[in-house]
Amino acid sequence: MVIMKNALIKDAFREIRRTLSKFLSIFAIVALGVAFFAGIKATCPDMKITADKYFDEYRLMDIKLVSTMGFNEDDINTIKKVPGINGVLPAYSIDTIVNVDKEDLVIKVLSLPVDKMNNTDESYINRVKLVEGRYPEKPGECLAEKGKMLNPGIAIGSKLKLNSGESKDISESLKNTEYTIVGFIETPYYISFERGTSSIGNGKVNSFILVPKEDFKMPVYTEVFLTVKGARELFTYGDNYNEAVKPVKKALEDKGKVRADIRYEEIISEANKKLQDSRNEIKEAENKQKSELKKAEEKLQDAKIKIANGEKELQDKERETNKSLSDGEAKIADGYKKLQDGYAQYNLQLENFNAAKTQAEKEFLSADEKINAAEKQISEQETQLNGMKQILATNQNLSEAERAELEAKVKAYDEQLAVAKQQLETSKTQLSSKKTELAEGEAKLISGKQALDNNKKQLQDQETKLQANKIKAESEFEKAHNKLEASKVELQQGIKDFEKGKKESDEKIADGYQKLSDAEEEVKKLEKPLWYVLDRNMHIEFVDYGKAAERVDAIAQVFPVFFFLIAALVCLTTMTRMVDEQRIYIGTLKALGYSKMSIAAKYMVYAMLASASGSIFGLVVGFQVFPTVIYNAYRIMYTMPPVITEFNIHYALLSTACAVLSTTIATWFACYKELMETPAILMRPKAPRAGKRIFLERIKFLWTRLNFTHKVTARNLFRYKKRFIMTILGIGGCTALLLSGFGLKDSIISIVSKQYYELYNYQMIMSLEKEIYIENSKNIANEISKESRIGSYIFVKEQSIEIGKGDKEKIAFLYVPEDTKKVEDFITFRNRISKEKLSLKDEGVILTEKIAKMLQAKVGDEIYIKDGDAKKLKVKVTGITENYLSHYMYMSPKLYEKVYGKKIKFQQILAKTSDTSDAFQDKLSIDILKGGDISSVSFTSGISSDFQEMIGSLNYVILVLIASAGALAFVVLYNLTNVNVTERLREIATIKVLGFYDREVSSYVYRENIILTIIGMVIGLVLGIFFHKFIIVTAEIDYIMFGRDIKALSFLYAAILTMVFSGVVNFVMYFTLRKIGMVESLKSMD
Amino acid sequence: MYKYIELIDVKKYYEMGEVEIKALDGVSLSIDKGEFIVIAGSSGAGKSTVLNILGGMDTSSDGEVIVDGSEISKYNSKQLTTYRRYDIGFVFQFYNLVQNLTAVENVELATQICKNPLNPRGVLEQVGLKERMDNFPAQLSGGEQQRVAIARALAKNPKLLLCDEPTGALDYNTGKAILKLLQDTCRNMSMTVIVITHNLAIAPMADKIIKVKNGRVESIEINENPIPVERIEW
Repeated sequence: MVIMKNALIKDAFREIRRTLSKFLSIFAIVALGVAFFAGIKATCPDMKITADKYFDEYRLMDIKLVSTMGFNEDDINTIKKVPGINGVLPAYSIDTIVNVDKEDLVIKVLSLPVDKMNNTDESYINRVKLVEGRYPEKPGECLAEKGKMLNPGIAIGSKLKLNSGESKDISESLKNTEYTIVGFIETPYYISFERGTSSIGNGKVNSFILVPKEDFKMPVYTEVFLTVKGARELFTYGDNYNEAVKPVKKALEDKGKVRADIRYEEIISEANKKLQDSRNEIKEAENKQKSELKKAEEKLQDAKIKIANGEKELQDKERETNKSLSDGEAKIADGYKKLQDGYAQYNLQLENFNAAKTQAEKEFLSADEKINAAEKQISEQETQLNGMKQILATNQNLSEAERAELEAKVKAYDEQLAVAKQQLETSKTQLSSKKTELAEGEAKLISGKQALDNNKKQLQDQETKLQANKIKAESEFEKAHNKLEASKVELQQGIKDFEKGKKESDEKIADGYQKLSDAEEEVKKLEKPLWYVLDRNMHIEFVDYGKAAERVDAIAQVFPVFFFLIAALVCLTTMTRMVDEQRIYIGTLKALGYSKMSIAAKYMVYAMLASASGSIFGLVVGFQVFPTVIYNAYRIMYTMPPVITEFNIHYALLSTACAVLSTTIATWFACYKELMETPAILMRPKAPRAGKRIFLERIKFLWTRLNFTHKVTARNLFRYKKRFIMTILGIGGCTALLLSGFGLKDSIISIVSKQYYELYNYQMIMSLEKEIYIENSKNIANEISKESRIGSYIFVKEQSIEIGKGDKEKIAFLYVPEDTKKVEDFITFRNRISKEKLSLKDEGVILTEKIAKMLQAKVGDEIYIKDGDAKKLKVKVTGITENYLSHYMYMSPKLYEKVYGKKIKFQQILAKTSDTSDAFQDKLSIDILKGGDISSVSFTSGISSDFQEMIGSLNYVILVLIASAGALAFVVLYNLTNVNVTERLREIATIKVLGFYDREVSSYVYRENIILTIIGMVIGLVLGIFFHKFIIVTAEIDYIMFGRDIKALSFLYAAILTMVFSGVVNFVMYFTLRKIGMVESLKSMD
Repeated sequence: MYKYIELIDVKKYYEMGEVEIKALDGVSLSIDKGEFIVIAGSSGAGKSTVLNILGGMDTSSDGEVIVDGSEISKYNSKQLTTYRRYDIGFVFQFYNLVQNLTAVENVELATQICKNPLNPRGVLEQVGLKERMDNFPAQLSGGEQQRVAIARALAKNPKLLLCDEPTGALDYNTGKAILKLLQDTCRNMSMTVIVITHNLAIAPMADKIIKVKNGRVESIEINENPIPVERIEW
């Protein structure tokens, strides 16, 4: 029982006032330590509390339902009836492409339930907070999110033109295609920088806008948001919350299955109906086609026949005509020939005739002459005769004999004459007949010629006529032929058209059938709609934020504790100093008869008051400052309201207790020794520590080399052991903290470069629309091969599985490449420490390092894969590979078949690309997604930069810690140096008296400081390595393995900073040393 | 006669809140070279103050202090340090040896910054500590420690040897021995030695006795024939 007498109490309080600076130094260091510890520890819960409040106020959904086939009104009604549901908000969403500033952005359009936007409606879920502008009042207006995601040029009044990004037109889903932004909002639904993936554009959603629900023209709701009764009152990051949501989730899943069946039936029957309708349509069309074709064919046939007939006719006619023509020609030719013959004959005849004529004429002439002669003769004769006759007649004088003779002569002559006449007549006749004959002959000839000529003319005429006829016939035939040809051509055309038409309609019909059978296939393939019941733990933003808070907590595990220790250390030294200075007082009290306890009480109270008040101050400040600072650092990445800092009783009590306890115990230790002494000894000045030979002196050759003052320094170092240890610890601690801070930064940053540039040697990941066997991959493979921007590629399967060993189970990704040799081009398997390369074999799997460690699995061990709830598939571990992000189990396709008993289907492609710039990747992904076989594209550069950002938030935290490590180091060093000086005041004053210049005096003190600092620093660097490793292992998040290496540069930084701090302290010390008065310090105990 | 040391109306004031304490209220004195001076006075009289000012450890508020022709009252802090370094040897009542250094090292501490130091070992021998040179102060008796302190002061080869109650912490015999040492040094090395004491019994050993009272020189007595200290009994 401590009995505090009145005077003692007075003294205690006066002491505080008198040595206010000491009091304050303890106060300050405790405040600092507590502020750090409590403040940083409280940050995580504060962050979560802030989020919880925000989510509560703005009714963040507890559950989000999505379905492979959307939700219709029946679904909604069923959902509403599930017990435990508070509010239900069916919603629409659709991804669109908007061109902003020449860049195509993927914007998600969400429905805004304008009618529900009054506060008391519990079904207004995922509320928005208006930060600028107003809510939409007319169609064509929308709300957008402020800032980071959208182009900064977007402001109130900007117009956004929406495109569907695929073949379907956007106006099929939305009433308006252009929207004007009328307000900016924040919403708890989107707090981080991640907006999700999309199947259009470059595959990544850039931002979102909200348009009134009425603007959507979609047949079903795309998602349903729900809140659970009673969940809002619970802390969202706590287990109670999850427990409250679980049953509702289960109920929904069950309902989902039921609805799935119903919906499936509905859809199938509707589909079938549609199919049937389509089939009928096609059949009709087919029939129509058939009949029309038949008609056409008939027509064609007719035409064909007609043409054939016509042709035949023509042919016949032609033939006929030709025949007659040719006959005619022949005849004519004949005629000509005959003619020719005739002419020839004629000519011959003519020739003959002419010859004969000539002859004949000659003869005629002669004959004529003869005749003439004859005639003449005759005539003469006649005359004679006549004469005779006359004579006779007249002459009567004749004799009878003369008569008779004359009569005889006359008779003779008459006979002769008659004969001659006759002859002449005959000759004449002959001649004339011969002449006539000749003339006849000539005439005949002539007529013959004439006839010939006539014939000729006739022939010619005939020929001409024939020719004309021929020509006419030809031309007519030609015409007829042409017509015929034309008709033929027409017919051909007609046939062609027909064929074409047939082909087309055939194709169409075939197409139609094909489509039908495709659709049938699709319908067959139609799976039952699947409801996905997602609670907040599957909402990436929520999880992300929670993890961020936990990350702070993880790092806060170790740092603040160290601060605390240092605070205790400083307190110890201060109180020790105080007690030392007050030995005489203590001795006096003892001499007066006060008990040890009462004397000690003064100092204990002093320390307790200082630390208690320091704690309280530290708590007040720490709970406000640190969470706010760290939170605001995170606010750069998360859209959250200002932080709610809670006075965390748990940490408050813990830290205060620690602070007070540690300082009090330290004080006790400080007092204890003094109190054990007798009063007499106490009242005498403290015997200075005896000088001793130090170990170093024994190393004669080293010792004699030392400068005199160096000897002093060396001895001093080892003389004040306690100070020696404290300085080294303090500085070592500071350096260790600095090194850990820098090292942490290195470890974390190196993850990304190691993972995405050393271990993963590909740039692009494509997800296939459907899983396929490798045999069916030819089409897609060809498409990719043709793309010049993509180099080599490999098909892989990635699947989330549960694996375990013994009783430990963890979630990992099963990763099966199509080829175990080819995969080494894409993923580097190696042992992290030995860098030895590993290869994927068929005998077993390769595990990534972290999960192997978590399962405590070594090479050669057997682990199992969970198949369903009970089945365990055993596999052997053949290698453990370096890996930093997520857990993977790599397996060969053969082993997959063996283990799972089925052939493997691949659903991803890894590929190397020729370029990695943003523009290149955007264009490439847009082009690839157009194909339809690939459903999404992502690039390792994108993933790594996302991760980089996430990790980047850690930088702030680390920076804060490094800065404070430095500040603390400064305080420790200052404190210790101060103690150092105060204890050796006399010594320092003496050397001043001896005539040491100020600078020499300082270096007398500094030399020790510097050596201690260097020793402390070296120890600190070593300590830091272990410290760093400890933090890494403790603060590591489950699915990340931090790099375990510290860069050489970090060591340099830590060392340099420590020296800098030390230098600053020494600089400040200089002034203190200068001020030491020789007279005051050396005052004798008069 | 050439005054080696001269104080002319030296004043020293201290301000403690509103109160002004006059430590020295107009001290004037002169000392010749090679003299053995005793400054005596009761506690708080101001003797130490005079010594401190003479030794360059403190500055006067007013007046002049001239040592060997130099007006040290006008010195700045650096000049004073130089003055202390080369011209002054100081011996304290409580020795103020550096605990971490052996006897010889303590002397070396002083000699390594002087212009014409004497040999530390030699001086230690001279003060009779031949056997004890490598001992730490904790291993030496009071008298031995004081001797080391004197050796330290002497080895500097200073112009002045100032001793502030050198025998205050020592017994009668040891004290006497120390005083003898001082006297011998004064005689043999012609060093000006100033000793402060509140023990007037040793006054006969001095050449001059300056009595200080209430911050003023009460009297200055000159001894024509100083007596060797071993012959003085008190």
